[in-house]
Amino acid sequence: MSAPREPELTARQITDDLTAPIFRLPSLQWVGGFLTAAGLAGLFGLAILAYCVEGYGIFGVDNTVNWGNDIGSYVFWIGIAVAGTLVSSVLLLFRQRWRTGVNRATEAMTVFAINIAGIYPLIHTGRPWVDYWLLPLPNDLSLWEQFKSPIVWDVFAITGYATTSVLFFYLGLIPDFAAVRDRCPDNRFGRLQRLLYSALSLGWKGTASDWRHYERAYTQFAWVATPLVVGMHSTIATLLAVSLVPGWHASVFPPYFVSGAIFGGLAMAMLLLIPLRSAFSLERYITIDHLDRLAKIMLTVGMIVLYVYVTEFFTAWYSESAAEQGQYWYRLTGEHKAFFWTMILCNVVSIQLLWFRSLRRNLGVLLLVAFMVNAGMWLERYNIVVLSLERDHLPSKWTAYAFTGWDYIILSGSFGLFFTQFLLFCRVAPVVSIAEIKATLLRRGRHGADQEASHG
Amino acid sequence: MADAVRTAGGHGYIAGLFADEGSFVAACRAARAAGHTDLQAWTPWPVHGLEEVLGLERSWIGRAVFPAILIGFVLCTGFIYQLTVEDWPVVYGGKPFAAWQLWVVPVLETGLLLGAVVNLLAVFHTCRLVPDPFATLPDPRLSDDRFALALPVGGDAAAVCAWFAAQGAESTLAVDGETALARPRFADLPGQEAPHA
Amino acid sequence: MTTRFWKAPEDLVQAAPADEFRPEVAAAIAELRSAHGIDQPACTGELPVPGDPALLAAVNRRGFLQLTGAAAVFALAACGEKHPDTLVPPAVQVEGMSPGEPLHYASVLRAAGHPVAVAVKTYDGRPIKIEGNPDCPVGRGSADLRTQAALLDLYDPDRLQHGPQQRGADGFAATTWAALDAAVGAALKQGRVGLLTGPVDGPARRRLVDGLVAAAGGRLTHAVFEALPRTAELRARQQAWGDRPAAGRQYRLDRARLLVAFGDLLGGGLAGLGEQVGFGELRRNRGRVVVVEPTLSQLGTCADLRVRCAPDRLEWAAWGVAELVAKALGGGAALPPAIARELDRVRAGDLSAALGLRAVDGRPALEAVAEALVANRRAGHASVVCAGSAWSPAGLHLAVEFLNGALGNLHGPQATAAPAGASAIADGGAADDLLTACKRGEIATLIVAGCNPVHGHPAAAEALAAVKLVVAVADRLDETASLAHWVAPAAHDLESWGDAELRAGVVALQQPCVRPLWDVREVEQSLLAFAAAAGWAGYAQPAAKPPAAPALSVVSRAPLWDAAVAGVRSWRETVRAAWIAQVRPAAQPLADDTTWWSACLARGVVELPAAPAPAAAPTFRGDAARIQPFAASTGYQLVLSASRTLRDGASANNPWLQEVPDPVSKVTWDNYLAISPADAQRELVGEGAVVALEVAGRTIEAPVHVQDGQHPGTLELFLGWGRTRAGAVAALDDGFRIDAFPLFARGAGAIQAAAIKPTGRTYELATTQFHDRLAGRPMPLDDSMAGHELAPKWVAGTDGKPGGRLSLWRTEHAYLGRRWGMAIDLDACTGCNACVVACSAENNIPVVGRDEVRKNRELHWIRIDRYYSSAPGADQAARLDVQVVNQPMLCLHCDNAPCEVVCPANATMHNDQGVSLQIYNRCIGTRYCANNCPYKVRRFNWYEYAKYRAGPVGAGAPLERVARNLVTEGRTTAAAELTHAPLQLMLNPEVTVRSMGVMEKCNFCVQRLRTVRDREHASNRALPDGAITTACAQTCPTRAIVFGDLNDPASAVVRLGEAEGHRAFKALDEELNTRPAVAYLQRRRGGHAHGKETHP
Repeated sequence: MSAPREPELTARQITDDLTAPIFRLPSLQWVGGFLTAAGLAGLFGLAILAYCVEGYGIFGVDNTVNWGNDIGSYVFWIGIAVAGTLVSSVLLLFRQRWRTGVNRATEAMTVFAINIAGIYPLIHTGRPWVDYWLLPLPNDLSLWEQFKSPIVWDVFAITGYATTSVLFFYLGLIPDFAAVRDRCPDNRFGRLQRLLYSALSLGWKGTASDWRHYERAYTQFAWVATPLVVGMHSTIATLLAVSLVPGWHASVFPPYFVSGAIFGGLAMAMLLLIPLRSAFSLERYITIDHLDRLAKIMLTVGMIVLYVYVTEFFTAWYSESAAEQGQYWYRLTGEHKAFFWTMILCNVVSIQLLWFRSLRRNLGVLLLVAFMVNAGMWLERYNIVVLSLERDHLPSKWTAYAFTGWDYIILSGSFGLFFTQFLLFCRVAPVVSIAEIKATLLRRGRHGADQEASHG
Repeated sequence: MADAVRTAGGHGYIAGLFADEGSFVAACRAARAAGHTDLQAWTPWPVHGLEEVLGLERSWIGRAVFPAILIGFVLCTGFIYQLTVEDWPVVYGGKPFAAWQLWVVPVLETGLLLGAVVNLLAVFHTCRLVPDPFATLPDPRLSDDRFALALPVGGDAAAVCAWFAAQGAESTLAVDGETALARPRFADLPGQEAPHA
Repeated sequence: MTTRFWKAPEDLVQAAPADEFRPEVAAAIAELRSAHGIDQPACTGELPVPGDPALLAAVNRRGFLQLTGAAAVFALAACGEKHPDTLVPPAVQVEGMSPGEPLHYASVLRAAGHPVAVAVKTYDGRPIKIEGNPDCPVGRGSADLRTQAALLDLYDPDRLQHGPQQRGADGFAATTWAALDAAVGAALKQGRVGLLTGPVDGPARRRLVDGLVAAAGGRLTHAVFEALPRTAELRARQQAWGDRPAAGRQYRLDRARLLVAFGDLLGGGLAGLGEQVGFGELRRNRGRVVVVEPTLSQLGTCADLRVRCAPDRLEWAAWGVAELVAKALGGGAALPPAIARELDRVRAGDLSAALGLRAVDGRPALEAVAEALVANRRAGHASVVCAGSAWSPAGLHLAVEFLNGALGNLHGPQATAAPAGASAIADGGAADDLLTACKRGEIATLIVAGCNPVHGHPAAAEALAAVKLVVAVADRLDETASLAHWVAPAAHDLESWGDAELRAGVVALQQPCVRPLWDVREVEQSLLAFAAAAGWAGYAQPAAKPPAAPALSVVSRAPLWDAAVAGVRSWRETVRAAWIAQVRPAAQPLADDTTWWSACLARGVVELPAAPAPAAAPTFRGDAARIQPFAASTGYQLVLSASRTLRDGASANNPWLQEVPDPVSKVTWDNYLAISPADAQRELVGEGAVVALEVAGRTIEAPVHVQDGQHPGTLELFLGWGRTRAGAVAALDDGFRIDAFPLFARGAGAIQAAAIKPTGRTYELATTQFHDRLAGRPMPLDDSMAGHELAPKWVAGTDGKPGGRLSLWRTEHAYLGRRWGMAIDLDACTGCNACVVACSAENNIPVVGRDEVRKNRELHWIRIDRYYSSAPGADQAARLDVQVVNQPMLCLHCDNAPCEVVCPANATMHNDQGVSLQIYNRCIGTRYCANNCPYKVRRFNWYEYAKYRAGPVGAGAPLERVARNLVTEGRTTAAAELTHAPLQLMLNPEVTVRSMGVMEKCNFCVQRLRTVRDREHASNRALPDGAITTACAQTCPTRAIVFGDLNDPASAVVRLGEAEGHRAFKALDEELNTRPAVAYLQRRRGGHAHGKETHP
């Protein structure tokens, strides 16, 4: 029990702590961060406008490397989105009660990442204004999607997963919105807020009967979301794996992508949680133990990812396929080998620090490792998507992909959009699930043992 | 029953407000033991075991979701079959028209999505969750740190208040039937009929 | 009576005499005709007077309706543009013409540098595609790169559009034809006159020039200007055989089994279409190709045995081979004694070693070459020995003549060095003399007609400045015309009458396929008008009565100049008269003049009995010949070759030609200096390094292309680039527009000493191929790669392994009717790009520009991959002796097409004839198909390419362009846009113009297949094999591409599969099971005695 539980930690205290950011003016840091992020998000919009007017040619892709930053970043954001569901669903199913400290923030991360991941494929098409043809909409030509296409699978997977994760996120928020509703101060602005939160909380009452159905549905969501998230990211992996491109065509991709996604997503969660807990003084709710546990999971999946790296190279060697071998040799030694070796440094070398308990509980180290893992995971997707295309079957059309200015804008803009959403979220919703954290921290009596175990 | 309550002076129920989860659960247990079947409880967070104490059955929501998923599977399979085999078969990359192996993902996703949506709609339905800008609780602290148990007045309001005080209630307050029994609409559901102690 | 449908009055009047409504309808029509001034009295004579009250009474209901209809038709036709002669649609159909169906006109084009007989496909009066004339024995239905591209020159907006121009103090100003003719006519009346023309290569043209010279009474000097003359060859032939040849030779490669070339025969345009067609025949006859050359030329990429040789040693090598051949064959042929002495002096044991030639199979290279020639001769086969490059020195030509004589290639029925008639590129001496006379001030008036000496001749600008009156007949204000005092706009070949002699005994008629786009005159018509204005007898004709409405040009409202109105003899009549007078007697026709003339127009080509090749061997008279001194070469030797895409640069403003990659280096849009990998290493320069090239006291900066296979110490720069006044496309910014003509010693052929110095700057050459080597990838491109699964029969389902492969799917789709497929013979492909341009024209493929090519976004549906192979462990030394395979790569229409499966939008699918289709309007542009295509043959419209003429302008500054596009809706671009008049007239109406954001690719010219299907359905009869072909297969000069129905056992493609299946392979099929419908035939190497071991 290393997290100090101060004696005055009461339900009221918890409610006050967690709803305080909603009722106070934003700090200068928040405003600065928000303006920066929103500015980047604006650039994101500008780049989209430029591309709709000019053509996709403003980006760095060419007739050999048809997918570049767009799809690489898409897979990156999908990966981020996966981790949130892992924390909220999988840990729930495994009855890891400590998840309550971090699940709200990671779910929010999921929702914001999935919508960016959803934007990327929509804005990578040549004619984004007809993207809706990818949806099964009735039309006068009786033309539907081509269901054999993995892109259609992707559409189904992303739509299904995005919808489910938003619903899941919202379901979790309803009791907390009700709590906020009942805390709104009685002034002009407070009445407005009350109106808003009353609408958002859907008239939540919190009767014993409501809680019974609610908890059931919540668990049920976890049961649905877990296969969805695994299936969704496996589908993204299959999108690449069913192709003929050496470097994409690998049956190891689905588990590889899922573990990679958890890896990167946890790193992103850590990047968000560590500043969040100090900015909103949430050290008692998001404890160093939480971060320690997340780091342990990260180390585990990181080692799985390392194993897959080795497997990929082994398979290429074992296949005796010149294209496969050439592809992986190119990654090691080609003109873009810096991408590969940086990825190894970030994803394999850096996480070895997490073997040590003292380092796992050192916020600076965690931030550094989390940042490196995020960069590494982006590079991993870039390597898979881009470097594979650079060296496929026919040597005559081998090229080297490079970013244009617009690619940088789109990439940084997507981070801007993500942080814009996250910063807004911090100020309109409790960043830790109030009801759940109370149930966990304040349990008395016969549930006390439970709580000790999970927080020990 | 609700009519009878209303006739008892407009304050159909009296609720005891508890600051402590333990005494609240004990009061619930006591009320059940005293033969009350028409009671309502508010908690700011899910209190585990309370449904047993109050004699509520397992939620029926789980039974709706799985069939929804199966229906999604069947609908999606039929949809794709009709489009790609019956209606307009086209050769794509030499694959057979009924390449069912390639339909797995859309079918799986559709089923699970339908399950998730049904799940949410079910919880909205059972808990009567609709956007309501004027929703209020008997006491605003019921979403914060107070627990409440409401009992029908049944004639002597003072006796009920005294009983609550004996159970360790902080205070008591009158709750009208509409507010207290968001429940009556579902009172006929089997899971909410309290077994006799 | 039954209802009649009619469109023109003739229908009713002539075809319906019993029509009860005839009188009133005809009267109404007559009235309308007279009101509209249509002077064709078809209905007059027997009709009531219009306005007769009896007439109105006779109008019943039906008659009224018909009259109303007629009025509506005329009223509608009178709306819009007033083209009086197109008011009434042709209801009495022109024979063979139906609206919406293309018509083919036989004509002649000279864009290739030599005349090519073509069949021009026109749609509703506008040419949209140039095809070879199938009746022509020289081209046999094929057309080369520049002929294909000439279509774009016709619609070039940079042509003179506003009539004749006169140069004043402040530039050119528009004037009238009458003023121009009067001024030139006055000048022609006195003083010496010079006439500089392009090749005079047909009976009528020759007659015109002769007539002008005669009419001027000795005051007119005529010379033919050719930027790349074959003077050295002609001089050598004169020295060797004593005759005075007027034109270069055509080599009959189709008769030979061995080609030994000291230089390039294919690239650079010195060879005609006949040689290219012959090369295909040579290959099909299993003929071999031996190339001795310093640079890697286009022919060098096709060589079975390639011997590297320094440029100045080439003459020595040729004489060395000649010596060995003469010795082996005996028969009295002996080397000139001076040369034999020199060879003996230089040779210390082995001449090959002395010349620095690497050994072939452990034997001296020269012996290997000589032995090949001798063995071929002993086997009774003919051979061709040639020196083809623009820079080939005279001494080399003499050795080649000696060899051809000794091998018996010059006489007998199988002579392979055929006289070329008047068509081949002429001696440059006369033009030099005329320009010298100009410079001395001896010429008062110079008419430069249809040529551009200021770009191609170093002394021309100076010479023109010394002439009092310069008149240019040119299609644009080019380098020459901009120095002239008067400019007469010239019509394009497709707007002109004319004729040509394609080869001795083969003459072709050139007829216009479109009315002139602007107010221009045929070159010859201008000459006739000048002669008429000068008052020379016979050139003026009495002026005809001016018609009420003069003909208008096709794209502008300007009235066209009309010979009949101006009182000038018409060039069309001149051609007709010349043909009837000169060609008809030789052709011995049976019909009358008019019928024969019509037949000539329809067929386009007439074969006359040619003079037979001399039966006896000529005697070699070059005994006095000397060889250039054998000096130890120090420093670099620069050779200047004609550009393999632009030739002499006459069509430098043609974006198609600018964008097709060089067949060898794959560089587009720029001139470059090719250097050897060994020199690149020594000078520490890499691809794209800009070097200062010093030659003959001049310094030129040029970007470097490191050319594998190039002999160390050799530099190669290309002629034809650097046009300054060709138009907007040639003048596009930021490229290297190097004009090498100032360095070019005309006619002599020269190897110049040069030095290079790196400048430290680099320039990104726009190349379509970034990697050259196979990198160990198992592509069985030639038969040296064993162990690969070949497809002995590629016919559907019978490639020998129907169930032999693992597959998740057990069903295969049956293609029961037609099933289209293609075979490409890598042995015959020369990489000439004719297919690429033919495809661009047929399928409306826009040009993307230099920047986009740099980004690997070219849009050509066919690309010709060029692979080098060299010894294992390729190091710098191995890069000097590379083998090359050209592999045209287009959509292979895989049965198991990987692209189709991944498309989410149904935008690409297979049809029931086995063709993989792309549906543009369904495409949303996910580009997964392109990623999943292992052949990388899918092309994406990254921008609205179709909008631009030469690629998106300023792609480097997208923000600025976005802003501009938002403000102006994309209308302001520096270069003219493709959608501007008249470029849009060029588009094939059968093919969609693709918009931004959609994928496109080869679809086997599905519009042609569709036409076939419709026609077969209509007639219920299958069209014969060969009637159906794709644009690329149709134009391929070497017939390397064969297209046909795989389900038809008699089709050429199936028969080829049966005959050559032992070397057929399907690209990547073994690895990926894609099952393409296109099969490749391997390059033969092992089958050739010396081809096998070309690596040291």
